Amino acid sequence: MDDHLGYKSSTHFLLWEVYYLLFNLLFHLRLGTGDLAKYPFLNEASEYIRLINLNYEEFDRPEMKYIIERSAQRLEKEITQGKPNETLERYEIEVLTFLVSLMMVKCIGTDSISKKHSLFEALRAEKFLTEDLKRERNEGRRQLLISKIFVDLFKIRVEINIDDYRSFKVKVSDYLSRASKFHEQEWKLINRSVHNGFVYLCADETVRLIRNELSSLIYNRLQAMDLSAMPKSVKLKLIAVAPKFAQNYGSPYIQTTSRYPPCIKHAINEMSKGENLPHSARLLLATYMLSIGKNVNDIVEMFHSAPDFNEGVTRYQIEHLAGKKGSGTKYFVPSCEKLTNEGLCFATRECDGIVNPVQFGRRSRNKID
Amino acid sequence: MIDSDHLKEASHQQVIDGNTKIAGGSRTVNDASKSQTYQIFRQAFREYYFKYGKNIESPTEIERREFGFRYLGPKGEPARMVRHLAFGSVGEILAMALREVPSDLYCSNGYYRFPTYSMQEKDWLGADLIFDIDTKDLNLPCKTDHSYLVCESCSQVIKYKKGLERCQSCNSPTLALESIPCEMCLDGAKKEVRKLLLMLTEDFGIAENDIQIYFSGNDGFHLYVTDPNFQHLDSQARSEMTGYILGKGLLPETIGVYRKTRTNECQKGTNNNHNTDGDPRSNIAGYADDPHIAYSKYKERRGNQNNFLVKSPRSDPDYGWRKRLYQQLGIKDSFGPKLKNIVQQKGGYHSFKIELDKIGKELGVNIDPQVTMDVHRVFRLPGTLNSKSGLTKMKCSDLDTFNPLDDACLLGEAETKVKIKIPVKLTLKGQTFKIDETVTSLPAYAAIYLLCKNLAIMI
Repeated sequence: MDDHLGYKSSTHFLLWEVYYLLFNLLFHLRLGTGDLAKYPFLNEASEYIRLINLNYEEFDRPEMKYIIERSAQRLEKEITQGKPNETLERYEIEVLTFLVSLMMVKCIGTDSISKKHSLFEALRAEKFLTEDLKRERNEGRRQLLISKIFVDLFKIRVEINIDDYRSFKVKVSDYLSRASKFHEQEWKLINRSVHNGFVYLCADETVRLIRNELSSLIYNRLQAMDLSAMPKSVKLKLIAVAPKFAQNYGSPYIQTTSRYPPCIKHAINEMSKGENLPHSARLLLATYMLSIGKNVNDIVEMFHSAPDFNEGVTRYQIEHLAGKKGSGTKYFVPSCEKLTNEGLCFATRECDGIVNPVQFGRRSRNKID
Repeated sequence: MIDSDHLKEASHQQVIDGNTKIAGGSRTVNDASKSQTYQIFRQAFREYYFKYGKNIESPTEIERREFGFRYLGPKGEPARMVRHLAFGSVGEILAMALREVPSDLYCSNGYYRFPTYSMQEKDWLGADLIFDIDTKDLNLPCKTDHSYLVCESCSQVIKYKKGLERCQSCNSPTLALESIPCEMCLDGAKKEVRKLLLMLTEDFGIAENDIQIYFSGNDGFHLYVTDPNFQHLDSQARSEMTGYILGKGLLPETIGVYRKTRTNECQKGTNNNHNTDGDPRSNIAGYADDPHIAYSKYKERRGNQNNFLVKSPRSDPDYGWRKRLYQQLGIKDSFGPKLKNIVQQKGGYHSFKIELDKIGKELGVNIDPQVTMDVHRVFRLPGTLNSKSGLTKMKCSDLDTFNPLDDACLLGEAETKVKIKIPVKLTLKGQTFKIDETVTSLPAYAAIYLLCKNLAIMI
């Protein structure tokens, strides 16, 4: 394998001093090199890149061919098959593959690909971290991973439950600020064990909590990358594979119905009966109509039957919601969750799986196909 | 429309600045009595701020708060609202109160870098977590005895009737609900406050020192949580917290009752989803490959009382709502046949879920979720008067002995003649007033209480 990778011959570009420094670095932090392979976004991995003093010319060396090839394959799998790459090789390969993949994504310059890649890198790390937290018997190493990833990177206080080493506890405020963005009922705080300010979670759930942040961390790294010049070998590889990526990127959704969602139907019905709709229902109706592209005049017309209709006030409010008045902030349609709390949700089976009324009638292109 | 005790952030569409009329909240008194009403209010409120100015509490980080106030116009026109103000000290607030004599004085729960800027430019830094418990939401049997509907168009007052949506005189749909809370209402609210306190301390681990209880000045209580861990939570996270406190969204799976699906019948433990560890919930319908079959099978199973499995729930300890449910159902845990029998008796998974909703409602605390979710709201400043009653928003250091209708009634006693619109009974400062006559003479605090609630006018 070493011959194939060209790694026996490649060692000459890593000075022995660098190995020594790296050994010192890892020894003091007690992280193994295997951790860098699994979690190449850690600061220690960046430090490794800095220590090996990698410059653009190095990428055109023949021994880097495998890394570039591997990075291209990783992206292809993500974009065309929608799967993360979960293979694991030596840390030198993984750290560089991570870096070259980021360079490629940065060069493609498509935001949706950047987001997708960031998410898949996060999913990859999530799998390894879950396994480490579940299977690692060395308490010190588990604590170290928690400290390096949860505490240092994301400022979450995670503790191992002393009564059951398989479970973890997270500060309720840390849990709320993350899990409230998940839509599955099982993540609702009410369905969790909550005691004395902590939420009790298993390893999978604890790691799942930081998926979005991990993805954002990688995305932000991408955004911050400065690629004024691209190594020739990386550029050539990218030109070869880019057409495969392009065909996968159209609009992800298609509209399958022009009907209104039940909450909007209900609001329209009530309005047409001359009922005095509460402010929240008016806000829903106006923001929804704006989101589907209705113009302000048409929306004002809809409110004509309101018992307290005043054209000037209504027009001002709708223009305000549309961002044409005041600060220019555009107001978005309230979420299904908010509508449920306000008693404005009249969900039917067709609403399954949506989190905002604007998604009603949309189906994922993949599902339709 | 029923006016709220607070001014919602969204209301900056309604309340833009001092020159814009606030929607709702207008006092519909006839023109002749307007200036007299204004004088009575101004005199009584100013006297209060002279005597009890020290009651005004200084909010923490006062310089980062947004303040607002509302007052009667010089000719008694509807109250105007001014927002986006800042004060450096409680002394400045008191000076303003004595100068302007506002009907209401508000302070934001939020902390801002620039509190006087427009909402989008304020730069939100965090907000106190506040819970609102209102006697109106408790739906106690006494509600109909002391609630009234006031027509905002013609001022007509009628006894509260469930389902009545239009004024019987002018057919207007804008009816405001006014209530004179009785002792039973306030005891009911106190009971909810105690339940909430227990949940906040035991489940959320909030120290009692970080929770302040206030009488809202009308018919409810506000609980302020000043624990810094909760100050940065956004609206969505607070909404999640309110769901927990209200007892909404309980899943039978939380106590180990799972829906029987093809997945967990035929392929036990072979679920590929690594996130759920073979948990059957990962494929709820069990027929993900064909949604049509899934739905018909799902309907078939709904009525079946054996459409569930009892397994041990997640490995996390029995705390929070799981513990509450076990206690309520009279079981120790999910093991043994007891739980299975209960679910069967209730009629299977779906009926059991409905039962859990009922238990959630019963054991949860009746808070107003909208108030807690709003991170840009302004709340009545503690120690100031509530123009919906003339009572003071006050801290309750001892909830058991605190009597809002006595302790928070601090207006003067000067004789004031009013004309009542409907016979009422009220108890304030330990004195019960049973008013049947149309024109009556009352102490200022009682007269103002009825004027505030639109149940009387000045003569």
